Amino acid sequence: MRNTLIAAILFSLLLFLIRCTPDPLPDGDLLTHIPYQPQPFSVKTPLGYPTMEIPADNPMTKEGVYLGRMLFFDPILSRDSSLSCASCHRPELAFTDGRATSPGVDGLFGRRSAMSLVDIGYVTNGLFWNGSVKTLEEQALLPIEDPLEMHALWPDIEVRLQNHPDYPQRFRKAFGIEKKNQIDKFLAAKALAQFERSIVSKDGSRYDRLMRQTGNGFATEEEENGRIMFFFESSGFTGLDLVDAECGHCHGGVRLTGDEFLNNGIQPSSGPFEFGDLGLGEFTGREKDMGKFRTPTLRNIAVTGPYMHDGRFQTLEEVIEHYNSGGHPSFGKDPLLIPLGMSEQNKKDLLAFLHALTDSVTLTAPEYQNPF
Amino acid sequence: MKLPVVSFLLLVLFLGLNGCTKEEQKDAQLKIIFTAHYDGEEMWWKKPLAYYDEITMEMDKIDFFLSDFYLKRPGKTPVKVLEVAYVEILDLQTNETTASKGFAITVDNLKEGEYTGFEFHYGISEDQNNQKPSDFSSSHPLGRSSLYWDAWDGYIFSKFEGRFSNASGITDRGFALHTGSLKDGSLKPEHTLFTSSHPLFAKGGETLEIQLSIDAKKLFNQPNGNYVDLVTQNQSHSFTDAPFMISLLENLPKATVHIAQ
Repeated sequence: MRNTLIAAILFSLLLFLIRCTPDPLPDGDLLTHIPYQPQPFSVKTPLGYPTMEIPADNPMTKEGVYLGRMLFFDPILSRDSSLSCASCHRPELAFTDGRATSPGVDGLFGRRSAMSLVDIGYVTNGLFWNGSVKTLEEQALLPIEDPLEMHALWPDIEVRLQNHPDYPQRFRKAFGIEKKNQIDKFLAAKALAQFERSIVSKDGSRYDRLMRQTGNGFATEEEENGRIMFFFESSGFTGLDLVDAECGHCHGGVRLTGDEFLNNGIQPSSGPFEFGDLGLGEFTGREKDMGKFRTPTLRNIAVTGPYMHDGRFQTLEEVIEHYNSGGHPSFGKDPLLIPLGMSEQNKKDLLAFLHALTDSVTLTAPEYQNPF
Repeated sequence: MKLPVVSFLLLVLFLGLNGCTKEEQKDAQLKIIFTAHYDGEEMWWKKPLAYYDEITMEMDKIDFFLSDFYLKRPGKTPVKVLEVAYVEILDLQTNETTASKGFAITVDNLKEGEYTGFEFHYGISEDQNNQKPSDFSSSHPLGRSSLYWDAWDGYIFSKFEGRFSNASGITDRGFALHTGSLKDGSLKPEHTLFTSSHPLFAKGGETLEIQLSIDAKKLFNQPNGNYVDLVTQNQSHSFTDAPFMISLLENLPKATVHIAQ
């Protein structure tokens, strides 16, 4: 009787253990036979740039950057596989798309214009026009499920990636996963963030080559005058009919942005809640932040129109006219926005300088192009 | 029987030794808090302020670098507790409710003890100013490109910004009074010193607060006894503004009061 009881208990235990052991993965789902030997990727720092801060939990590797590049250009991330990140961030347009706002998979348009991604890895004080996301890893998760953008569900995308003939081995090589079902949205976002951090200026603009690398002036008087007005170098004003265009205050530094959130007077407003788009304030809830938007880099500005967070200006000439006017009366407008009194020649000079900021080397760099 | 007794004795000895170990001395925390007032009254971002001669103003920014913060010690050399920080008082002092909130800088690992006062500079030193944002990570105060003025080849030491209106028809005009270093020799980096000899005691495990109040109206004092004429001087970023910038920098310590606890 006793032996029977023991046997019954042991049998029950065996059954229990068998039931609790997860079903073994088919051999085809294991990835451990693929070597995991990631090669470090170093960002080539442009002249005068700070060192980029790379998160400790997402070090850049050649395999990670390449995987991110594939995901960036692959429409697999959208619900109907019709749009990729690159649909709105085209390399030849400094990773913008030439539209005021962009249509998503359902044909609905977003509220704000696609931002340039060149040098985006140097931004540390909040991404998007309203600074609502802190890291590229967090940012990369959002457009996939946004109803105005890719309108997919991450669980569906994860399954697609897990069942893809190529991606599992890429994830293995980049992140060392052992099974296909370890591919998830967080690893995909990490790969995308790595690729985005790899998109840095290549010092290929006329401004970089003629001014920053050699210290020589521009070849044309218009460009040189525009540069002087842009940065307001007083010593350059001697005997010249130039005005302070006030650009360098907000678009100074090597990246041609101070990374600040500012109200540049494009939205008339007599109070903090009367802006059509609340910008940073929509995220923080603070009156002080209402109507403020990220100051974008002016690198490649000639190819990133339409301009402003809502793409309201089609041309750089319109942008110059706006700043020359001092902008609309607007709650919290930056005090540096004042009527400038620029002559027609001043405007032409400034425009010439802005065109000298186009870096065709960056825009055509093979490592930023579609890998498919 | 013998073994349990020996074990018991060893346990007692172990506990006794642990009990006799001197408790590790905890460090204190230092909190430096800047608040802004205006003519002795509370102020906040965009609060309407009476300037002079029917001129009204509101302020958006009272920002500045502070550097080389030392605590003085009796009979010893002062100890540097902070290299550099960027203070943005009105970023947090935004309305009546937060008028006394101010801007706090926290320094950990302050040694417990008596201090005989403190000192720091408004602005940054010549050595610091000889560097560039690219020498720092982008999250470091000196790594912020918005605080570096390429045309001056140096950092912006302070920013006083806002808007003003007067009785002669000027309404809501902006002003942006910046200071910094012009390396053409007309204005060398002369950061200005604030010092206090008020005794302080930092107790381990607790926070020592140093509260400093800046009277914003005094920032606009001019050496001739007048206030800055915002109609004619609503910006300062050309080489010819050097004497004006010096006066603004010198106003910062003059406008500062240490509120002793």
